Amino acid sequence: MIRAAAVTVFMGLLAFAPTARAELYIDIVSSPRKLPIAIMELEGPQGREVSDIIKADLALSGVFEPMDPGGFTERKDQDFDPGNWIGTGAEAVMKGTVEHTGELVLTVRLYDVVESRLIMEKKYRAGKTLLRPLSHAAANDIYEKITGRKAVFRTKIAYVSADGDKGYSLNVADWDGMRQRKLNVAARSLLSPHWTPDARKIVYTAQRGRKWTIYSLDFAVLKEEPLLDIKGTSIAGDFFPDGNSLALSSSVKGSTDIYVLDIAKMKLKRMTRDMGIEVSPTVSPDGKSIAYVSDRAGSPQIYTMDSMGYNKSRLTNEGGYNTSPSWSPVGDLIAFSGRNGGRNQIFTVWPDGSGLRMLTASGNNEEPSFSPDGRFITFTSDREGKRTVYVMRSDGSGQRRISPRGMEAFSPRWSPR
Amino acid sequence: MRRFLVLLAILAVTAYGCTPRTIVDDQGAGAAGEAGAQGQAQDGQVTIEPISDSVSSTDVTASSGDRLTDIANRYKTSSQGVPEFGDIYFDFDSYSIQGDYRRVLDDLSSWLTSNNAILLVEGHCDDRGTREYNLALGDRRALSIKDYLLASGVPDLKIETVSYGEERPVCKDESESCWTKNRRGHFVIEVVR
Repeated sequence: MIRAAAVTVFMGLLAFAPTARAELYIDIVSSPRKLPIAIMELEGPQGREVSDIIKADLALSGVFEPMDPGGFTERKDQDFDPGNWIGTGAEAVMKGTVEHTGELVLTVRLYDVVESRLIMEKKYRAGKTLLRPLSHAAANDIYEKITGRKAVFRTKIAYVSADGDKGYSLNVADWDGMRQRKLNVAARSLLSPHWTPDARKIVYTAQRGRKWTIYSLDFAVLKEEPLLDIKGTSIAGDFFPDGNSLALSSSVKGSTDIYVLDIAKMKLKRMTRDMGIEVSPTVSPDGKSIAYVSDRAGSPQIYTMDSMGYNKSRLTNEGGYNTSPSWSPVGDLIAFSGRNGGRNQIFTVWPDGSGLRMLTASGNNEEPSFSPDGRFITFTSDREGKRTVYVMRSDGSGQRRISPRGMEAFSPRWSPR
Repeated sequence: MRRFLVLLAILAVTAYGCTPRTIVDDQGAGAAGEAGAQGQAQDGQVTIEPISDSVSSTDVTASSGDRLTDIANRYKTSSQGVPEFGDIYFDFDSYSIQGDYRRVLDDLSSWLTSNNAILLVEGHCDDRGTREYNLALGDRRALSIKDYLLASGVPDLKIETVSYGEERPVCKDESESCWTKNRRGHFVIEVVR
C-alpha cells in the first residue's frame, strides 16, 4: 500500500458556540506575513519526533513561522495558560500527547493565544510504523484550521532514479523526501510517472529492448500492465480530471503528435497534425485545455489548445527553447523549463501568456510538477552536480533537495491528495 | 457449414489485408500526414542516380555493381560482410539531414536495396534539452533518415526506427565537441540469412 495506511480521526473538531469574535486566520493568498506558532514538544514517547515533523511541515509551507522553543516558559505537562504566551509573539500554540497502546495514538490541541481558547482538538491513531503520516495528518489539520485551505503534507512525489548498469527504477517518497522507497519497476529507461486523479495508479513510459511502451502500475497489487503498446514512440502525459482519458504524445503516424487516449475504449484521438514535434501534453484542472510543446515555429515553444484540438495559441514568446509544461491543479499558472543563458530554468506564466517569472537560477532546472494545491513545485536540478529532485514554493522560495544525496534522481511528479 | 466458416475466415483475412492499418486515430487523416512527411523529405533532397539517357539497362546493373564495389572499397567491412557506415550527425535541436551525410545515406540506400538486411535507425540527442522533448527529437531524427532512405528507394519493410533521446550518450563531457558526437543517427544492420 502506497497510500499511507488509514489514520483515523475519531474525535472531530470540538463544537463551539457561534461567536462574533475574530477567528485566528491567515489569508495565504494576500498576506506576506507568516503566522508565529509555538509547536510544543508532545508528551510521551517520540513526542519530540512528532513535534519536529509538524514544525517542519508548517515551516516549509511558508505560511507559518514556528518559534524557538528556547523562549517557551510553559512546560509541556502544564495546562495551556494564555498568560504564559502573551508578549512572546506567539499567536497559536500546539500541545499534545503521544501514547503507545499497541498502536500509536496522537492527541493534538491547538490554542488561539489572543482569544485564549482551544480552537482544535483531535486524536489520531495508526500502526506503530506510521509515525510520520500520523504527524503529517496533524500538520494538515492545523494548516487547514488556520488558513481555511487543504494542505499537502500527506501527498507524495514519484520520481525516476538511475541505478548504474541496472538501468532506471521508479521511486516514491513523502512530500518532504522521507520514507523514500523503490517500487518494483525497472527498465533500461523511464520517463516521468503520471498519477491517476485517485492516486491509485501511476502510468509511465518505459524503454525495454528497442521499444517505448506506456505502462500502468496499480499500487494495491503493485502489478504492472501495458497500457499502450503501439508502433512508434508513445509518451504518457497527464490524465484528464475524470481519470477516463490520458493525454499523450505518439509517433505512431510518423512525426510525434498529441493524442488523447480513451482508456475504456482504448481509442486514440489525434489532437495535432504537424510535420514537426508535438510532445509533453499537460491538462488544465477543468479538463478544457491542454498545454504542450511544439516546434512548429522552428524552436520548441509552449502552446495551448482546447481539449477538442482547436484554438491553438502560442504561450511562450521569450527564449529559444521552452519545454516540459505543467499546469497547476489550481489553474492559475503553467510552469515550464526554459533555456536562459545556456542553461534550463523553471519559469511560470499565466495561462494567457502574461506574468512570466523565472524561479531558479543555479545549474539546470527542469521537469516542473505542481503540488495539488498549486503552492509548490517539484523539479529536477543538477546544481549539486548529479541530477536530483527538488521542491520549492511556486514563487521560487524555499528551494531544497528531497531525493537522497548521491542518488541520481529526476523526472518527479507530485501526487494528487 | 464448416466450408462456409472457412470461406468466412478467408473473406475476413482478405478484408483485413485490404484495409489500411489504422490501429489508431478515429479521424483517419493520419495517412495524409505521413505522405506529406515523405513529400517534404523528397523536395529537399532528391538524389537521382547519375544515369544518362543513352545508358542501356545492362549498364544500369553494372553501375549499381560499381557502386557496391565502390562502397566495399570506401567503408570498413564487419566480419559479417556489412559495411560500417558510421554515424551521421545533426545540428542542435535540428532533425534536417546535412549535405555532408547525404552521400553516406545514398551508399546505405544502395547497399540495402542490393542486400537482404534489416536496418535499425537509432535517433540520439545531446543532453542539453529536456528528457521528454529529446526523446521526441531523437524519434524525429530517425524519421528524417528513414524518409530519406524511403525516398531513395529502400522498401519500408527494411527500415525500423527507435529513439533513445538523451539516454545513451557516447560522450559525457559538457563540451560542444561532446554534444556534437551525441546528436547522431546510428545504424544497426542485421543481415537476414
